[in-house]
Amino acid sequence: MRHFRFFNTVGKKYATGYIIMGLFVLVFLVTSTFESVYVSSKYSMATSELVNINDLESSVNELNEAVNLAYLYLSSEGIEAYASAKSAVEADLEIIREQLEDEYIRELSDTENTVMTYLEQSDLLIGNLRKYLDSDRKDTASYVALEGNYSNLQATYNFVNQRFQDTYTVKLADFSSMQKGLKDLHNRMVAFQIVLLLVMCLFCTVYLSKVIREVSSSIRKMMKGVDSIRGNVFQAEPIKMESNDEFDEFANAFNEMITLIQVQMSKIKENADVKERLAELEIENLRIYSELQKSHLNFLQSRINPHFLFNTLNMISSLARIEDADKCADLMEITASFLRYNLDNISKTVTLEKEIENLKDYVAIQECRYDGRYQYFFDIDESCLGFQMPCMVLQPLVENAIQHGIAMMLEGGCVWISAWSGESEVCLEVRDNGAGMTEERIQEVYEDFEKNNPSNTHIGLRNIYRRLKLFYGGRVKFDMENMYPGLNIKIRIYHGE
Amino acid sequence: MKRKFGNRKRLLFLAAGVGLGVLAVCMARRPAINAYPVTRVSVILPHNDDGYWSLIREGIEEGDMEWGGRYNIDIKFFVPQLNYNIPQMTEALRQQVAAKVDVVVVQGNEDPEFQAVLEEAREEGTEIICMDTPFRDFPYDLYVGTDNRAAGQLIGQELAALTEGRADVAVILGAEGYLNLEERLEGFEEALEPYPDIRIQSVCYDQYDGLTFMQLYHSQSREANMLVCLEGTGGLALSHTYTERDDEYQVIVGFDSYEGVESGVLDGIVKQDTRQMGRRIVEEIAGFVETGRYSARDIYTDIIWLTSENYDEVMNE
Repeated sequence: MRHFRFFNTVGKKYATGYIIMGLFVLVFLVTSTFESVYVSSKYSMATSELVNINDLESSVNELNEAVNLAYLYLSSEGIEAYASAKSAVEADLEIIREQLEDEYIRELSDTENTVMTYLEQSDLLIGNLRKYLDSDRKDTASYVALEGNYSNLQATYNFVNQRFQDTYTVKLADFSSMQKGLKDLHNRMVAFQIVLLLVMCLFCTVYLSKVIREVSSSIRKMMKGVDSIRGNVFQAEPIKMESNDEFDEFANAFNEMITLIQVQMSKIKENADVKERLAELEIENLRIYSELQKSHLNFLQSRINPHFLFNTLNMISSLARIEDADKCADLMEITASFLRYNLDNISKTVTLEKEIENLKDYVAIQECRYDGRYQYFFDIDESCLGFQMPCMVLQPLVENAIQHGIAMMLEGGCVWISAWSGESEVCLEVRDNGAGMTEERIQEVYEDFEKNNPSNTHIGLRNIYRRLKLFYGGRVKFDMENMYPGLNIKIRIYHGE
Repeated sequence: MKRKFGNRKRLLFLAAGVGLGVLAVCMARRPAINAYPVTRVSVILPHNDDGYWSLIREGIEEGDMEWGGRYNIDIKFFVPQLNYNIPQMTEALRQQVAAKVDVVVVQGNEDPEFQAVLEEAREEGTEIICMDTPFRDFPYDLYVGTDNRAAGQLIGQELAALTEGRADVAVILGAEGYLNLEERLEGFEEALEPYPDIRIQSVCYDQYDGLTFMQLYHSQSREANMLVCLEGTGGLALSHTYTERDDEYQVIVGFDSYEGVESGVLDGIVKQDTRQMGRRIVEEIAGFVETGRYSARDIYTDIIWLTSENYDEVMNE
């Protein structure tokens, strides 16, 4: 049953059982009906045959009575009755012939032929009798001939009666045999029907109990499978079903669902572990980052060391004013202002305006130092003056432009400081027309920006880059471009969200 | 979908198989339609003994079993209430003529009334077959039986051999008017012509009756020392009367009563193959149904000289 695709639903399995049960009942009914129809038809046929034979016998008797009436009493009524009686005999003979065509019986055939002989002889007698009666002279010869005809006819009539007796005997023997046969048939039918009922009961018991067992077994397996997932889905046992029906499909779907749940649960657990590890790593990173930032600031601060220098310069400036050295005093004040800016704002956020003012102090110091060998150009968009930025970003760039760009030039060295605002960014630019930097060198500088252990060159640029990255995150872009002559450093700070 | 169609096809095949099976059973139960019309045969046996006519009847029944169904031959037996009663046989024959049977099988006899009825039958187109005994003058269609003249010659020759050509013989026959007996007697007399010392002292008729025979048996021994029964009744009566050889006659020979040979009451008999006689009758009717003619008008069946010496060999065949 499991291997037939037809039995792929519980409904079909039950339906098949009921259909087969119905077939058994149908066979039972058909056999009962068949037996009933067959028996009644047999009896009807046998009775009909006997009735036909009896009809023929009766009509022959009537014919013989008509012959007797005509011959013994020379009755014209007898002669007239003969014609109608003969027709009746012929009609009955025709029925007997049909009966013989259906089933040949020697005795009946002999009877039919003997009756035919009787008819021939009676025709001869009646014909001769008519002639005798019609003739004017009733001679003895005719009478003797008629007597002979009548004697022969009556002898044949006796044969006819004997034949009828023989036929009845045979038919009754056949009837008895038929009855015995029908009784045997009835017994066989009853035996067959009992066997049929037993087989039907056996089949129904076996088949339906098998189906019910399968269904119950399937339900038990499913319940077991469902129970197994209640405690821990990872300990769920797959439902093993081989019922080849909806339960099979349900079990497959259930197993797939359990597998899916287990996979999803595993993934969720793995994700949770990963997230936990990531959180730990993030905390560690933050800690490292914090320490790194702190160390960077310490480092920057240690490089600048402004306090000592600021105090010293204030003292020198006071002395210079006392000794009328105003230029020196001014320079000292500018330097002090420059240092104060550094001291006050090194770890703060400042506006671009403050940064530019500080840068101008630095430029003034440098002009004094190089006695006007170099020129400085500021081009600052006023709309950018309030832009918030880390302290000491532009000064190192200008210092870098002087030292590595135009420092070797005796004259004509220029540094351009620009700031403007775009649609999505603020751009700070420091450009010189000095020695510039080869493309390979620019590439090395870029690579140093990202290294943990950079080379000792261009530390200022790398500091600015790192500070800007720390301050703006990914919103800053640091570009260096060789201008032939000179180097252009452009810092783009994009507006944050 | 294809598989489902396969299942449906399988169910259709199953239903068709069951249908064909039922049809086959129904067809098997239907009688086969025979190509030949029914040939109604009436066999009028003169006697229903258990040693001669009964064997002829058995032979006919065997032939009926073999050819009857195939050629649609319907055989019916009629036996008179009294043995060899010609008026009763005539009445039975008349019934068959009235019933317009196709074939009548009779033992030939010379009774005029019997032959007159037989003539009526012949005029009706009924085939006339003689068994055992033919008619002397009646135009029968077929004779199946012993060549009686040859049988008479055989018994005569064997008697001459047994008596070494010297004997006074008493002959007892069944009844007058049977050609077979007359032919046997003629053949017997022909066979004895070369033996002048063998003299036929008397020829008597026992009328197929044991008591009559026994009277003749004793009365004829006064003049004869050898007894010849040219018909079966004598030998049967002796074999039933005596359990061992009676010394009233030196030699007793007869026809068909093999029990007398076994017990030693008889010295020898001419044994006719009566079973073959019956079978050949049906075989010839079957041939007539098929071809419209018989293989010959007179068909002689086998005879054999049976003595105690060849008894086992012959009877065990």
